[in-house]
Amino acid sequence: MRLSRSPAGLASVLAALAAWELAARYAPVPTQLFPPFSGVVRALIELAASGELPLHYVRTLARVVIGFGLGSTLGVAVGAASAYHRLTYGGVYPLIGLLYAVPAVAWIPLFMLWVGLGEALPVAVVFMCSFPPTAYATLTGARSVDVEMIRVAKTLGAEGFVLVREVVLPQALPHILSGLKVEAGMAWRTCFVTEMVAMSSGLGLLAMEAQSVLRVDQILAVVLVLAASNYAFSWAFERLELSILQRRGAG
Amino acid sequence: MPSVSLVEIRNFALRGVSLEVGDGELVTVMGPNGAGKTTLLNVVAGLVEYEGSVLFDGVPVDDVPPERRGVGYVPQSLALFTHMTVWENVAFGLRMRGFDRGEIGVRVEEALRLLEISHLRDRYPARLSGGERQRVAIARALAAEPRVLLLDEPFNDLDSSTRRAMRSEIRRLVSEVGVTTLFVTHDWVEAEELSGRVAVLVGGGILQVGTPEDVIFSPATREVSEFLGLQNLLDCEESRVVSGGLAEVRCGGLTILAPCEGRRVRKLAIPPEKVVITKRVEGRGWFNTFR
Repeated sequence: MRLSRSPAGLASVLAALAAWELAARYAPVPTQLFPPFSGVVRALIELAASGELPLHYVRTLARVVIGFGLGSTLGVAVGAASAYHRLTYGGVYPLIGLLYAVPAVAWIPLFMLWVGLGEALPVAVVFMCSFPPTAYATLTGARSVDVEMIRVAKTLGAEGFVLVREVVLPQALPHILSGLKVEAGMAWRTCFVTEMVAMSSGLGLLAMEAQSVLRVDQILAVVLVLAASNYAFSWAFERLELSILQRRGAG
Repeated sequence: MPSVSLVEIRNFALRGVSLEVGDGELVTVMGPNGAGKTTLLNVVAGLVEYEGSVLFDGVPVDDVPPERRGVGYVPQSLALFTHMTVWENVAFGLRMRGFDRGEIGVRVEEALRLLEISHLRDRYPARLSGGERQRVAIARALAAEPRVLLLDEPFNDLDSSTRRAMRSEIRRLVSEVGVTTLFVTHDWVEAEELSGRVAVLVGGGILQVGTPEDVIFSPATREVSEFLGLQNLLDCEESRVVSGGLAEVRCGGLTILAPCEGRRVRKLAIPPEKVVITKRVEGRGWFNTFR
């Protein structure tokens, strides 16, 4: 994921941008339809300077943070609580599996009717995007904790919730974080699509507005911002996962 | 420290096991793989279901859950908490039992000192050697002052010199702390060196309990002698270490070269299948030849 990890990664990105720039300048296609990279950067600066991009960006960011925050927190809680016992595990696992199988955007029509077209809509959709996978990752992470470790913890006096908090969750943490790393990106994508379809603000709307006035450069500028945000979130979780593994001496 | 009594323990792996371990005694449980040794320890810790009764100092603990039995358990895999430092691992049981911070500090330091691992306090388990991990697991089990200590083949993954060091370490600890201990192994040397009494567990049943001498010189059943794999057992008159791994042993009028661990050889077992009677000695590789 990380560009800086290898010079080859950085070089390939730079090469792709250069190829894009040259192709757009010399291809027999109008630059309005296929703008060069420099044109997209110009559009990005323009959108930022006008205050339009920051306004919509903040909206999207808030929806992602709230929806993803709620979904992943509840996912970890449900996963951890149900992993502890055979019965709850057996009951919850198939439900989570079913929810996981539904793409989050499939909830949009239903939630439009249930919660309306307000701020609750993207938050609810992003929640449904984050909750099942996080619960699933926590559940599988918790179940993979060494049985002997749990037995020793019991003989040392840990039981029930304390056992989960002190041993099960910390042991499952790398597993949970690698799930969150993927799901943070998904949350941005899902929010973007919801905004395209049903919202009157946010990056998704900005892209749709640009499309209606044939501003391909602005569409691509919004896409770049989306990609960068997505990348930044995943990177943060990856850093966290790595630092935990390194601290424990396993990285 | 309490005595431990097992009365007619039965479950999926054990069939009517009874055993007495005296106050502060170390009893070794020996047996082949799959004999039920680990299950026996799990029964004492309350970690698996069973019929029969476990008594600490004559009081049944069958209804006491593992969290409250006060057992120190060192499993074969050691199962150190990899997300905690050595200090936190050793403090875990004390924290769970609600000791105050000052008391925890004192007891953890004491356990670290006892196991000579004070310098490792801030390390995570992944950064420890096999022998160090071993010591941490034992310190963790001992810190909360358990009523009974259960050690499940704790030396399995160690090289032979670390094993030797850990054997003497356990001997020292048991005499210093005086904790009632059940020690599971399939290594005869460990059993002989560590314990006054050995219980031989085969196929879920205890076939013999006695001193190492008793067990080795008069195996109670054919299964015991088969498990021990000891035949033609000879007393040695004198022995002299000739190199790190070999000793010259005077035995039944013969001088025999025998493998040793740098220690005096007192008894020698000669498996019959290793004895070859031939007219001509061919090639090398013969350890001892007699004409």
